[in-house]
Amino acid sequence: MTTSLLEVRDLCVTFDTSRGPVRAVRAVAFSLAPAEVMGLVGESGSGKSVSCRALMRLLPPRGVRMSGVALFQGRDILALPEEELRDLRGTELAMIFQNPSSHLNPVMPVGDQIAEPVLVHEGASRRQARARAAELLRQVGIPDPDSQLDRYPHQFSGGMRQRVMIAAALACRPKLLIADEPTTALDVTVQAQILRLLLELRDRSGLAIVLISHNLGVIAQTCDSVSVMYGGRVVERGSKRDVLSRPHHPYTEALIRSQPESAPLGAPLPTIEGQPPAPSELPTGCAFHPRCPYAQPVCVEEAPPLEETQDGRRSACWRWPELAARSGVTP
Amino acid sequence: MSEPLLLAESLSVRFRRTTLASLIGRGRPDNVQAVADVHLAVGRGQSVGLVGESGCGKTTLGRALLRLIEPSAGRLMFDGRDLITLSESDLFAFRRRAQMVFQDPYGSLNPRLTVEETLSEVFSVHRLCPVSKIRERVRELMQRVGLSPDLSTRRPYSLSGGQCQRVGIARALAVGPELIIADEPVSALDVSIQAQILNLFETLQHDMRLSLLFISHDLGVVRHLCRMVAVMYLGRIVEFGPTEAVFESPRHPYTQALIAAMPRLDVEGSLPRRGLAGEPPSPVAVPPGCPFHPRCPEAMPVCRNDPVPEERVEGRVKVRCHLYPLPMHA
Repeated sequence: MTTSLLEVRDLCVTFDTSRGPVRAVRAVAFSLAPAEVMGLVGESGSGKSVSCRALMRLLPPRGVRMSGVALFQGRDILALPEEELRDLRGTELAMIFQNPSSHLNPVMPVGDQIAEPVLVHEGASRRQARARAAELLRQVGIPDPDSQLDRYPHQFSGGMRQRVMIAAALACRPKLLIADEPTTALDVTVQAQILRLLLELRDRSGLAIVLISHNLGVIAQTCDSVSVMYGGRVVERGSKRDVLSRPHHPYTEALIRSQPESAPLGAPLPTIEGQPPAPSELPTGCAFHPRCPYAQPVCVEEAPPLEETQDGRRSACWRWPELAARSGVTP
Repeated sequence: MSEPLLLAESLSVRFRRTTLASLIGRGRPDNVQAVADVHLAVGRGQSVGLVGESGCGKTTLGRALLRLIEPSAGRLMFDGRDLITLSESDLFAFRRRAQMVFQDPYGSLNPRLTVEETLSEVFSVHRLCPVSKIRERVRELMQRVGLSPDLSTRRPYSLSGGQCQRVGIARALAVGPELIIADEPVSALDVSIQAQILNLFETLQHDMRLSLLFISHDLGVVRHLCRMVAVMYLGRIVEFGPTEAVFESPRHPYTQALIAAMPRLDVEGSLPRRGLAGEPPSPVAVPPGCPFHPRCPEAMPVCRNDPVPEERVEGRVKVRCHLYPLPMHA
């Protein structure tokens, strides 16, 4: 499709470790339209953070092998020379993280941190950059921005620090924001504020967002589309409504069922037995087969491709037609 | 109604926080009122959820209830006995009846001990059975919490988070307690593992008639697991009642905001348009009057000046809020 802002095909990331290669991300593919909010769901070790860091080219150059294509407005991020990459990263691509304290410079006033990308990339004067920083702080809902510019990160609360990081990420009006568990460390009432802020920014400036979260409730409330990752692969993707109400992959289905709010009160929760596999010890065939209630001999032998199921949705399961034939998740 | 197993009345915990100014003799150390005037009851065999945001004092309260932290004021009763005045040896005996499960599954285990050593220690410290029987009892315990016996020689680093949390639960169960206080026991776990551990709590609570105080910031989890729920804000319990009553019609504006902000797995849903502004203030600087008033959408002049009223029974729920004045003030 020509309308997509980001098109990721066949993204693979392999770490060379002392115990041999570890395939953390295996042929991940998705696409993102302008102003789309895509949720990336998965458990620890599923490869969601590594995929996104690979897209930002933030992984260390040594001991990491990457392959695949990530077309951002027609340019392949993975093949860009370092210089062009730096330009792109500061301006059109931005990323925010779970823990703002460890991604803000503790000995630099927040105003300078927000102004820095404007100075570097837009060649603005100090005064212009400072004014822009104040404007950004106001946009992310920090009261009295002018007097906050000279304060340091430790003088802000957790939610406010997350706002500061968002302001810095948005400094050069990026087109794509990758948000890696941006609200996981925050309280629920503050989480709602930050998510509302992200959606407002999308509405106002057409920002596309990849939202990494393990919380299906957060995904349901904020995203347009969802990609579900397991064992380094995208196992299902589609619109939020389709995926969360009529999953075509057993892992998605099991994940939804095991949410405390899906089960009737007092009844035991349906669980997924076992635990998510470590990337270094992936099962053969479909990585989910040891925990899958639908597993058949073929699942042990061969990994199913991520193929189109219905209405533009995709699932990597040999038995998706049976899942699709049912009307929805029944507890 | 029979008397509750655990009862806290007007329980308070204050910490002194040494400031730089106080160290050099300019000014006094801060007093942090972490838990203020808390009333809480856990009935026999009952599961009570304690919810609130970070810094609201729920962990401190949980620990104070077991005297892992000394309360500064108030009454604390367990099975009709005063816990505050217990001697060291009586306190040791009390630990056989009430135990704690912690949030960090790795951090709360000794990294140098195998699963079997961790669990055996409880039996030998409390002299629960003859030494010759310990091994057998440990196996039974591991089975009860769903740990396969071949994990007994493993150390925490070679266990998953879920397995470590099962060891933590087994350790608490070893003494055959009547009460378990579990402090965010599933927050550090993956979603698919959370459900396993929640089911384990549910089974244990049912089979062993355990009383459970379940501390969590996750309202969905508490709603599923607990019969009663207490909502805490800045050291105070603002609402306490049967879970379904609290979730169906929350009385306190803070409870209402908390429930509205809960992420829901509703595919048609979207974020609530308006939510609570601001963040919980630091417990070092608790606002005067009702501590919630700066964020409260329904704050009245009285909330800024007068302390929080005594708890008022509204239907089946107890609430402490000026919106629900005591009859004599009405």
